[in-house]
Amino acid sequence: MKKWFHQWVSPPHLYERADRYAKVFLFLAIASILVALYGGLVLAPADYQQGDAFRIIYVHVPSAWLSMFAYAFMAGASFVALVWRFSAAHAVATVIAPIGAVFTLLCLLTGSLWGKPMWGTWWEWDARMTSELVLLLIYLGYIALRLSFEEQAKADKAAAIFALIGVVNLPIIHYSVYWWNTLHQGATVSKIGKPSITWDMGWPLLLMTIGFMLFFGAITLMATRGELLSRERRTKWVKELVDINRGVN
Amino acid sequence: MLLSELKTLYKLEWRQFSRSQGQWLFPVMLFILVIVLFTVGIDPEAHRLQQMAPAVIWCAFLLSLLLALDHMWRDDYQNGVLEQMLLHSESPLQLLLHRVVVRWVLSIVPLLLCLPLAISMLQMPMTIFMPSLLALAAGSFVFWSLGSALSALTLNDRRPALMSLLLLPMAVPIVIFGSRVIKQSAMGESVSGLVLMLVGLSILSLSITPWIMFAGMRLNLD
Amino acid sequence: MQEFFSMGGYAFYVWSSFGFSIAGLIYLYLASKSSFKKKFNEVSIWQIRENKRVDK
Repeated sequence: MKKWFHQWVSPPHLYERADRYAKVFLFLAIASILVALYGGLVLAPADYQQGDAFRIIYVHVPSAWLSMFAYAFMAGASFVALVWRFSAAHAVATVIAPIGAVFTLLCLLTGSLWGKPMWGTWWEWDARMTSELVLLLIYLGYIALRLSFEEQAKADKAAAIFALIGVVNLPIIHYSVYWWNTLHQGATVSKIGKPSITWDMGWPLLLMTIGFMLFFGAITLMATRGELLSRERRTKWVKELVDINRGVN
Repeated sequence: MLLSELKTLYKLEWRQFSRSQGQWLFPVMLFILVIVLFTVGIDPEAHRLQQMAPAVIWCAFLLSLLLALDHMWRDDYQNGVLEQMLLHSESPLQLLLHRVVVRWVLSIVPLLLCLPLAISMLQMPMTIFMPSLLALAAGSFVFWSLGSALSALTLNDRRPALMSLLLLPMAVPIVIFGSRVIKQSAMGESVSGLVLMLVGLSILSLSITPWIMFAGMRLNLD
Repeated sequence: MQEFFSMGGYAFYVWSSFGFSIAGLIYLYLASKSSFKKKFNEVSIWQIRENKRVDK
């Protein structure tokens, strides 16, 4: 177990593994997303209240889930990197931030496109949407903080600390926004997000979420490889590797 | 030993404060200006002003603090005082914390003195004064300590905007609870729970932020 | 078929949601792939330069 773990955090091993795993993840991701698309767009029956507009759930909810999952993963990597000084974990956190930001943006976009026909407005101050917006701002802040440093080691440390501050703050933000939202919502029942889901509507959602997660894993691993090369450019393994593969890539 | 260090710190703070050529007035001016600008943006009728008042007071207050936060470490970082302070201190963590608290008090007191003015400008009942004062004090401490920590983390960046962008998203809960205090106290409801919530948040931030400050400074002073 | 594309009158919302999402995923894939290539080339060029510097 310990050996297995160390192979994941040692840069050359991670570099090598990342390639293999990325390919497998990507294949599985594409397969499950395609099946889920067919299931969600064709097989699943229309919702009795929302009609076909409810199908937006198949891309909205997975993006929302991934936006939070990516942050948790980034914070976890930052924690590991700070405490055990694994440089590879810093590389993983670096590449996750923009990916997480894209998923957050997708969640906001699809949420807005869902809100327009359901609520009649492009932006409803719904609790979930509001906290996703704050999450996006925190992702962007993380990226800006990283870019403000010239030295890699300092950028890593500061960004990791900021990611952990975010972990403490995000739940507080989330619950305060929920509380704020329930205060003025009163009688209007939230129409979005809570159609009573049956199994024939639910399985494509589950599969799509799994597909998104596999996809996230694949692209994170792919980007991590580049980041590792760039960070470890002075080491022997990168030298040998670049010498062998020069011209191939 | 710590006592003499603190004495030096307080002397230094006082000297900086008295020599700042009225810089402490800038946040106060901003506070009033934000309220004026908000008000001229609408038809200033009593019910409309009252509806906006909680949000306006909080936004004006936090933005003014942002202005004051900019000087938290930056000046002393650039002229090397900060490095000396941390290098020679036996308990740098406590020293930093004292400085944060001193600066917080010096920044909020002038603003809180303007609070009656803000309340009357927004045509709110004066009964909200005490609850708002408590909420602003507790909420501003969360904001201030987090802001000090993030300033320490971004010391090497010359643009003051970066810290604000990192800090303001985290102000969401403070504004939510804080505005609610003003709103509910204006309606004559009890607000002790909400104020306690803000006090709780400030205790939480007090227990976490000194470490971040220290880590941020060590990283930027290397 | 016509019915499928019209999505019960919500065609614009449904198809643009799915469109944006698929486009976002494709963008992420391409960006990750190209960032790897870019970093690889950077390191490769850096090494050639570094070798020359050492030789001198």
